[in-house]
Amino acid sequence: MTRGSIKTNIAIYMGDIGKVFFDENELNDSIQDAYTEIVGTIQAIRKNATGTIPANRNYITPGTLVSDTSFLNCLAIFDISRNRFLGDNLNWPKDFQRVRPDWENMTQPPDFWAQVDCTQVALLGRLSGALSYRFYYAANAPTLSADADVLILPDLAERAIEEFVQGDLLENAEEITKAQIHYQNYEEEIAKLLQLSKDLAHADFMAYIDGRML
Amino acid sequence: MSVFSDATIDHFEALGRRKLSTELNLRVVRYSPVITAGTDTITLPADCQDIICITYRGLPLYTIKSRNYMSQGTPFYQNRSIPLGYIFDKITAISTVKLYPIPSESLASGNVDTGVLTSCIITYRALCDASNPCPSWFERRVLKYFIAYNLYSLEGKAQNLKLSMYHKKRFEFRLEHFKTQLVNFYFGPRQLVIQGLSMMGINWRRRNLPVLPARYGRPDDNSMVNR
Repeated sequence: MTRGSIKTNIAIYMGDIGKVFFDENELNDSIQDAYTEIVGTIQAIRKNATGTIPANRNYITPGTLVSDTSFLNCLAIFDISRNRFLGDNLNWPKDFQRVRPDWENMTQPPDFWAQVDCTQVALLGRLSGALSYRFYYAANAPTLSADADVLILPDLAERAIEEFVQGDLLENAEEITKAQIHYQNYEEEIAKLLQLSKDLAHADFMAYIDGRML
Repeated sequence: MSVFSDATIDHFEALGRRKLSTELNLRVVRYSPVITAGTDTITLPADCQDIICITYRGLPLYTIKSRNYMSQGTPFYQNRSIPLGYIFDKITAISTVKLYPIPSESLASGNVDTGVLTSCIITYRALCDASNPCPSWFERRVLKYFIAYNLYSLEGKAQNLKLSMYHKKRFEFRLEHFKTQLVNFYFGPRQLVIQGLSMMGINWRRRNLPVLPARYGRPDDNSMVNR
């Protein structure tokens, strides 16, 4: 599935062969929007990288630590030196304060992490010296720059992308009744993809990304 | 050429960002104010919309909900020289808080990471604006509906109330979609990790309680040993 193949299909669906009414830029923008949204929703692209957590920090920005601008959200943090994952079943800040009211003064290797906002993560425990950790994270969709670029999505997502793009283009042309039908189809498709993503990640998500059998 | 001026579009863009950041938890900021001895009032930054917590020398201050309790001035509170709690000073301004008891020491504004023990730190949810925009992966697709529904409702030759209503509904729908997505981001990964991590009947669910060093990492203190 490439950007070019999607554009060809859309031109046929919209009766706009030769792309007379909807120009290239409009099509490219819509496809990129659809791609970004679907990848973000089903968290299709997962990466891991090593980053150094500085000393005396309870709040870190993993995207900056791993120097990846496509960072979307943190999935897990692995303590390389202790060979274990940090716990992630505490809520910040309430549960952290229950462990110890002045938890920000606790100098020890972090045992737990929790998401603070879209970019930051809070650690329960602060390091006395900088140390390397491995971050597992979901990433944003890369920017499509050419028609030959392949979308990093399962083929099942093709219909969702095409429905989104048709809805978007019709909406821009103020054909809102038609647009609504395509958006409804898109929502149905994305629900199926979301379920597929959860099913695939259900049992052995960590086993696969860690490269070991549990 | 657009019938709407750039200034009008920019205005609705700014309003849209503010709306998004009040509806969603997008940005958390930590700020260290200057504490002056004998002064109870702290002015909050202009982008503060909700305080998450305030720590004073690393210890959390609790919200004092009852003004009567404060005004009665119990001996315990009167004898304290550092604050134990805070109240929102909504009478004079919504953007200030009062520390109680009033601090008898002055603290400089410190580093929010390394100066936890020596300063007062306010952690708050902040508004988004042009210099601190919402995350790029969803901002564009929500803001365009917000801007469109406001622009199409303006008086003038471009007014189209039907289209305005359509974009408003789309905005609300998209906002709900991304709200759900953010909740998944904050809590979803844990479910993915926890679910079904088992093999051969062994339950690999992770523990609920943290394993911490003795006395929660506090330095040795004879009064606390083996109690």
